Amino acid sequence: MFNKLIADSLSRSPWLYHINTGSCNGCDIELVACLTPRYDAERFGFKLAGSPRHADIVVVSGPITSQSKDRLIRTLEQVPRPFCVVSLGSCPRSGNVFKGSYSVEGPLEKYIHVDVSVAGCTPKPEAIIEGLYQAARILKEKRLAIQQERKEAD
Amino acid sequence: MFPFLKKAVENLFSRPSTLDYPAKPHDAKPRYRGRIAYDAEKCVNCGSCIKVCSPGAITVEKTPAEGGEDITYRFDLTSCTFCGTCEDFCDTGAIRLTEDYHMVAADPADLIVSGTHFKAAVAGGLTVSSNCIYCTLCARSCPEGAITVDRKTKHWEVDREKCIQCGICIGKCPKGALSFGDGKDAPSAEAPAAPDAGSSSPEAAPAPKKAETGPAAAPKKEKATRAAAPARRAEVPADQADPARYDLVEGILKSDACIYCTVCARKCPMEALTVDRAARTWTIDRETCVLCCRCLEACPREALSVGTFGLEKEPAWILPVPALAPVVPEKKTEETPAPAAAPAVRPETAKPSAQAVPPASAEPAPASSAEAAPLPAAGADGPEGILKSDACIYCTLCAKRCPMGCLEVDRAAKTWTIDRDSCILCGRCVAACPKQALSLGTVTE
Amino acid sequence: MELILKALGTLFSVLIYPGFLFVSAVGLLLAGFDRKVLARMQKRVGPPLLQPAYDFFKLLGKETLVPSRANKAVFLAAPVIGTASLAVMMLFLPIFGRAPLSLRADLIVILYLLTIPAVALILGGSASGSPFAGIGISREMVVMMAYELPLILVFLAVARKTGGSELCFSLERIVAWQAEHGPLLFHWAMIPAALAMLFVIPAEVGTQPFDAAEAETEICEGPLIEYSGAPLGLFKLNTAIKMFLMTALFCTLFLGGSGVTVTLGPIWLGAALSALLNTLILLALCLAVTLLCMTLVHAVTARLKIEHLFRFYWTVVAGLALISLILVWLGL
Repeated sequence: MFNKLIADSLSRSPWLYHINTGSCNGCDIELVACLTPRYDAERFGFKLAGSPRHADIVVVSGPITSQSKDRLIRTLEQVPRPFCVVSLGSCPRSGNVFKGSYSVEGPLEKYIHVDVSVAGCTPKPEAIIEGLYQAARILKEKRLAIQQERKEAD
Repeated sequence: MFPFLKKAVENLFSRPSTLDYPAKPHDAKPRYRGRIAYDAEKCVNCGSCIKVCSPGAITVEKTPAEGGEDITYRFDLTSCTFCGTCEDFCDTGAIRLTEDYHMVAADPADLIVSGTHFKAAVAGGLTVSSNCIYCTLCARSCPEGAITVDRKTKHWEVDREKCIQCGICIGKCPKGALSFGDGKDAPSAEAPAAPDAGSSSPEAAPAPKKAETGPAAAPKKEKATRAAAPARRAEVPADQADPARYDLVEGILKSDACIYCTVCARKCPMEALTVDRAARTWTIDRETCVLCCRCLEACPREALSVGTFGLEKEPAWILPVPALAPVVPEKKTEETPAPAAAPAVRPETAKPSAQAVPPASAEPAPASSAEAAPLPAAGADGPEGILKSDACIYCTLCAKRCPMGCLEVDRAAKTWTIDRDSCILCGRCVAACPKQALSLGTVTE
Repeated sequence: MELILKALGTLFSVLIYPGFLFVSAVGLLLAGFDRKVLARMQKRVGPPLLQPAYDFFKLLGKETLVPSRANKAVFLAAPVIGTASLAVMMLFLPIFGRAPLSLRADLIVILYLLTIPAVALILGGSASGSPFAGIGISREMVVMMAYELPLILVFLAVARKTGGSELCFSLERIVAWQAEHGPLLFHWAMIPAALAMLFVIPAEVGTQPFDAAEAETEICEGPLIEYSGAPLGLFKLNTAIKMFLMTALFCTLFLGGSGVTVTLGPIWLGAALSALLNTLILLALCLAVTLLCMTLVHAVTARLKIEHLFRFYWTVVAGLALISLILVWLGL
């Protein structure tokens, strides 16, 4: 029961860590727009965290430049499990118009499994909320899966 | 700080401005560019969208199938910038960016829009009929640059290797001369390849041949026109010398029903009308007005009419009651006696009207060619060309629309000249004429 | 036997009521109220009331990462120390009546116990070895010094007022004095001190505009930056508990009194009912104080720079407390 409570809380209180890997800033602004009174993502417990160690959902925007690649990997290593990765916009998934540039090391899928992709250039805040909401549900499943693993290990 | 305090307490007791979003659906604003909708049935596989897509989000896959091939277009929404250029460039409207912004998926495969259509193999490929006027529109519309047209040498050629059989050129052709040949047209496809080959084929013969004779005749004609124009100009004032004529000047008249809505001014192709809603004034520049009567049709209160009115002195813009039509420049005009007979000389297409026709020489030929005008009539001895009736009001709209710049209209001198050598017979002037004074027909010498 | 019962009773007090479990629940609820009302003041719908509880339970279920450069023992022990001291502190606060652990010098003990969570934060932050935490703990120390002076002055004023010629540091006696003479807030000489105390509460809890130490937008929550999982959850819990304890302390010092006594049915039922009623009244008062001195101030102000914060506390707030102290010393 306690495990269920924790898993439930996980889906109700996902904290976001946003990492910009060379984004044009469009997606970043729309993500922040989700926290404004008009969209108010805090209704679902979403909160922007300042440190990857506080994060439950890592939101990646941008096509992953050579400069940001190492930082991205280092950041992702510091996120406590269970966590979700959400790609914001077209860039992290494909590189978008930056595809094929000498300084683009994407796509994000090369480095980590992307749980939810939010398409759009940029996505509407409504779409972002939808994506984060879906990621929160995946978070819960991941927690339950970890529990299952532990049980089986015992 | 205190205004904020007031606001904070106010907000506490007012409704939050938050959208109840996931609970209630929220539509995007009109014309939002969201998820791509692809109608494979409309697609002609021209590949324009692939060419214009800057992130390269569109891919095409061709798999051979029985009697042709299956063509699959894939639109990767996780790569798309939603710029809408593919939609703009799609000639057949197969691509549409919808207002659906719910593009969220755990599996990226859900974010790929695709569609497959079957394309039957075409045996003969693109062919051109003898109707071709070498206007180059097909070459310009071809997304693959497979068509080359040389107007000077009357040469039309398609590169079968490059041609993807999208059919855009077929839609663009003003003469309906292009088609995907199915065997029987195959020989004619070769016809345009060489300019002289056309003459060997009996069907293709007339057009190129006549066109060839055209250039030789045209310069002379043109000179003749220019010579004739000043003569006519001199004669008109002579005709108007009678002061009684000024009482019967035709023009647009306005009744008191006018509500100064400015619709007429907006409809006027010549911008001759100015309406001031605030000052409630309606003024017309009679010199610019071509009496096309579009304002009459546009007026919601039917306040406008065409009428005659008197004038004290001779106006600069004389438009006599029956528009005195100067004739299509022909040698005939030169031959006809200059004075009063001038208005009676009609263009070849016009049927003999109530007006007296002194020189009977032109009579028989036009009567027969009038019916056959739109097509290159086999029996006619002249080449095909744009003809003008005396309904012409010299409004210059046709000249403005002409893509080749071969029309010249002088409003003051009431002349209308055409450079038949450069005319491609696209027919835009015919469509543009507000008085339906232009038509296609056989030009008789 | 009697000894065992007494020990069990103390354990119950420490762990359940009015100890750890009670203050945690109430603190999280109070923090939820704070967030909800703050959101409404910003014209938002805001998170559910239980949001801080969700946050806490979620953090319990997350992986706990210890940085390689951190001192592991101190890093992990710090939040526990903080929580323990706060749970114990509640035992000194009489809820309209007797406190489980009231001594002669409650106020002095409370002063020390209040310092411990801040010290624990400093310990944990410095153990993590992060430069962000370094800036955070130096700010935390400045904040601590800033609010300790006015807090001591307020305590002195209260002690002098209620103790007459001598100083009275016993909360139970302060409450008893208020039951006799009316709440301290209504003695005009004490109004500046009450105001000063209202200013001390947000600094002690660390809410905007006095949250320079944990500024999440500039130094990423400072000392907490390296924490994850359960220790982070405990720190978040500490903040919530502090929110309740500080407001409860304010209520005890300035709005104390005899409370309600229900005489109904058997003695134990009456006692239980009156305890419940008194607790509810205390909670309502705490909520009002929270909204007034934390939520409203948070909604209308921006974060102060650390030097501005320090100057503000040592001039305005300390000045207010000093006025009260002088007035009380003069016998007013």
